Parts: sequence; structure tokens; C-alpha cells
Amino acid sequence: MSGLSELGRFSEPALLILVSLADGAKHGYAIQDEIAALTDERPGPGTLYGAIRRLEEREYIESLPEQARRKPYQLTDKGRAALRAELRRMQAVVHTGLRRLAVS
Amino acid sequence: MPTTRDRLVRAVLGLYPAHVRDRYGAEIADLLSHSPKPARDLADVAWCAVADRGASVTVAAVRPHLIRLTGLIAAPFAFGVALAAAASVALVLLGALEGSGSAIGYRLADVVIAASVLPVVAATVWLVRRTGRGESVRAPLFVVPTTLALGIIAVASLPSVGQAVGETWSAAVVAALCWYGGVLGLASGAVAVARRARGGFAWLVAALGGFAVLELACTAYVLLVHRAYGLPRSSAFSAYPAVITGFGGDPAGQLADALKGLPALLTVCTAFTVTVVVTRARHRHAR
Repeated sequence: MSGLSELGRFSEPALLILVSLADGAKHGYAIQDEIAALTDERPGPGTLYGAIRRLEEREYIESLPEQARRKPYQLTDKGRAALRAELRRMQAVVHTGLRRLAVS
Repeated sequence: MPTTRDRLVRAVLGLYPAHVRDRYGAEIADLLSHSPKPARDLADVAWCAVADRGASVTVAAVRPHLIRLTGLIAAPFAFGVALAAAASVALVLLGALEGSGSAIGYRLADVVIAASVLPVVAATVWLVRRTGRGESVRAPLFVVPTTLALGIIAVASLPSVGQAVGETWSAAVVAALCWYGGVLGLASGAVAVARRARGGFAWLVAALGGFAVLELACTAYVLLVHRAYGLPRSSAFSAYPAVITGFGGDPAGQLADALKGLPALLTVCTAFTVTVVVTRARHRHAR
């Protein structure tokens, strides 16, 4: 196992957080809003910060100085590479799956 | 004035390991305070906090808590040894009095043995008030009565020695459970009073409540065994004061035979519990 899959039950929220941060730094509340818009399900604060903590520990994201009493987070180069690798892996799975569905 | 949601948020954040709470607590609290689904989000945070705490538990971190809990479970046994030692000293003194020609000697044996509980209670209260202000035991309101009740049942279950806290094991266990239920309520009430009232009033409420709890436990014991000892059912009520003072004539002697050292042990355990929780509550209130 490598990349986000080693985060166990936090791997999916972690991927969504990385996607949310791909276009710029955001604080927890904005990340939560964006994930809700993306998946129709708002992650709980415990799940969200459980994933944020694990991403920070692996240096995939980093916090920035507080703005208006909220701490924004941004992707690191390592996190950007991990997100790209994960999305490519998913793209290959999606491509294969769709191709096989079309064949059957 | 904190709202119910604020209190709940503080409580669930308290479940996190300190390093996680210090780092992310304010941000999680911010999301919880703006949550459109507070119940679901509180449950989510509580679940994640407990999982994080479980993941961060190490033998080294748990060891001091286990040592304290073991100490508390063993406390009733230590109290029992102290009570036996105090009663032995009292008997030796009575023997010396009798030997010196005094007429009062052994006639006061029951009263003097009963009174030997006082120095043990006084020493326990003194010791707890000196050392019980720290935060060494978490949630003492629940932990202290629970561990002491387990310790009392453990003492009652010891072969031979167990009979010193009541000849009938099942009745001793029921009495210990009654004591546990009563002392949980008493400790909660005493803490509430200690936070609102002056110290003297809090101690008075604790003493009166403690007496009621001890009477409840002893009554439960005697109600279960009174036939075997040929005692009237009515003797169960006010069994505690009759045995603990040593006054009361014949029924008191029979009650003492049935209850043995149980009233004395429960008295020390009650004093210990109430002193721990009230001392801690007053110390916190003063900060």
C-alpha cells in the first residue's frame, strides 16, 4: 500500500481534501463546503480534521498563518504529486471499467 | 454564559488526546458551532476522538492510571487492616485498664471497639485533604465509588478474611451495591453543594448524606439475614447507629455479630469518597 490508501478510512476524505485544495488554499469550513458540493455529503468535523491531521503528518498539506481566526491549508509539492498519482490511478480504473461496460 | 452546545462541544473535544486537541481543537469547535447537523457532527467528533485516543494509548501512558486504580481497589483492604489495628490497640488498652484494677474495662469493650473507627476516619480525611487536590484520578465522582465498591466486594470474597465484613457473602455484596448507588448520588450532591455553598455547609450535607447511605447499606444487609440471627425485621432500621456506636443493648450485640466490620469499613470508605470529591470540587471552584 502506498499514497492515500495507507490512510485507511481517512483515504477518501483525504483525497477530497486534496482535490479541494488543488486550486488554492482554504480553511476547514471552506473545505467542508466544497466537499459537500462535490459529493452531496458534508464530512463531519472529526472526519475532516482526522484526514487533515494525517495529510499534514505526511506533508501532503501545510497550514498557513491564521486569517480572520481561521487557519487555511495549502497543498505541498509532495501532496500535489500524490494527488496527481491518485487521480491517474483512478482515471485508469474508470477508463477500464467504462470500456468493459461498453463491451458487455 | 455557555450554552448546552458549548458544553457538549467542550466535552467531546476533551475526548481527544491533548496534542490533537491543542492543535485542531479550536478549528473543530468552530465547525461544530456552525454545524447544520450538530447531533451528527458531535457524534462524528466523539467517534474520531475516541479512535484517536485509542490509537495513542501506550503501556507507559496507561501504567500510572492502572497503578492508581489498583491502589483504589486495594484501599478497602488497607482500611480494614487499619481498623483491625485500631481495634486491637483499643482492646490492649482496655486489658491494661482491667489489669490495673479498674472496673470499667471490658464492660465498655463494644463501645471502645466501635470508637476505634474514629481515628481511622480522621486519618483518612486528613490524608485525603492533604493530598487529594491534584488531578491524579480522573472523574473521581465515578471512579472512586466504583473502585472502592469493587474493593469492598473483593475483601468480602476473600476466604476467611471476607467474613470480617459480614458472615453472609451475598448480603455483604448487596450491601456494597446499595452503598455504591447511595454514595454515587451523595458524591454528586456533595459536589453540587460544594460549588455553590460555603465549605462548612457542604461538609455538613456530606456528613448527613453519608449517614443516610451507611444506614441504607446496613439495613439492606440486616433485612437479608435477620431470620438467621433471630432478629426482628424492625431491627434492620437504625442498625447502623446501633452497631457503629456500640450502644443499644442486646439487639446491637446480635447486629454486630451479623454485620461484623462492615459498618466500620463502609464508614471509612464513605469518608474517603466524600472527602476526595468535595476537596477536589472546592479546589477547582477556588481556581
